[in-house]
Amino acid sequence: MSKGYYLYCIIDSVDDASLGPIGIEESSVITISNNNISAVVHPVESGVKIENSQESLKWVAAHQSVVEEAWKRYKTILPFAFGTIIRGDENKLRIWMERENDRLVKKMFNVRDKAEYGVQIFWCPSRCIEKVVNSKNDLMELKKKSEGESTGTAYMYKKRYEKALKDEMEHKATELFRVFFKQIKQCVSNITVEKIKRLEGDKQMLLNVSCLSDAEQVKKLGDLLEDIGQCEDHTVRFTGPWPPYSFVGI
Amino acid sequence: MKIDLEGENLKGSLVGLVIAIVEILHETLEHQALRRMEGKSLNDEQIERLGNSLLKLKETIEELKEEQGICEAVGSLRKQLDGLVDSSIWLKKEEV
Repeated sequence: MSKGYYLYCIIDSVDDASLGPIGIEESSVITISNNNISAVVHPVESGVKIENSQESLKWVAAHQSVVEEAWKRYKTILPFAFGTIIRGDENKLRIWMERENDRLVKKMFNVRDKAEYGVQIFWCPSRCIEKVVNSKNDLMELKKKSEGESTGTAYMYKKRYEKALKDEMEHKATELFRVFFKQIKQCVSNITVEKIKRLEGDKQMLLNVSCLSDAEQVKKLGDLLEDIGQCEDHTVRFTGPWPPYSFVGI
Repeated sequence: MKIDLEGENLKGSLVGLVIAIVEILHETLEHQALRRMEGKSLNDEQIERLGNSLLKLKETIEELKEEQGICEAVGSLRKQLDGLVDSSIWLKKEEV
């Protein structure tokens, strides 16, 4: 059996402390320091073996809760992905921290005094159809022909209208994404694009991003999102603050 | 990925599969017809004739689905076939 340390995060202070039995399966979480940083860990006797999905969810939640506790306590942290284990004894952990020190300190500098926020913007395409059709002459013409021609021709124009409308709505969604993304990017330190999720019903996700912001930037971001949300065509979901999970890249 | 055909109702499932394939053929024909129409390679009479044929085929497909009570089954098969196509494209991209 190989001994090791399950790593939750790295903090930018020197502190050999105990955070109590708050880890995965109530493991006692401690901090081990080296040079100017410390690792938030719990000792493990072997690799993490997940028996079932329910257990894995519990463990992921425990992992996140330790990261959040460390974040509250130490302010600047580098969260590590679920399941990160540094193999070997305490000395090996310190050697790893020493070797990675420059890289970790540089990353920590980038997230200092900042938090992660989630921004999702939604729209209901069906509510915008009329506006889109009225703004495009070719669409209006196709619509008119799909209603007024003889059966076979009307059917063909109806299909052309549906296809053109679908293309136009996709173009509009791309354009809205581009505009919102640019506006949000100007307010924050860093931004990453997350996967657009498919939703049931008419509501569609236009944009899903994670933003890294300090206190001043988050105020600007909040004001911008309030403006975007005031338009009846869009709804905004603004979440956070979170530890900077998406901006660590480890 | 595999396509599920229910063992207990093989006949109904096969009809569903055939209808799903006919639906895809219909959509392909329709797509081709629209491209030709947009490319102005069809005259008014040809557009009317094609439109009528495609409309009748669509109505017949819908009637068959209603008669056989397989609307949901066809929808589900179409989703599975879409998934099959998506994963094939993904595999092809991986190869490239």
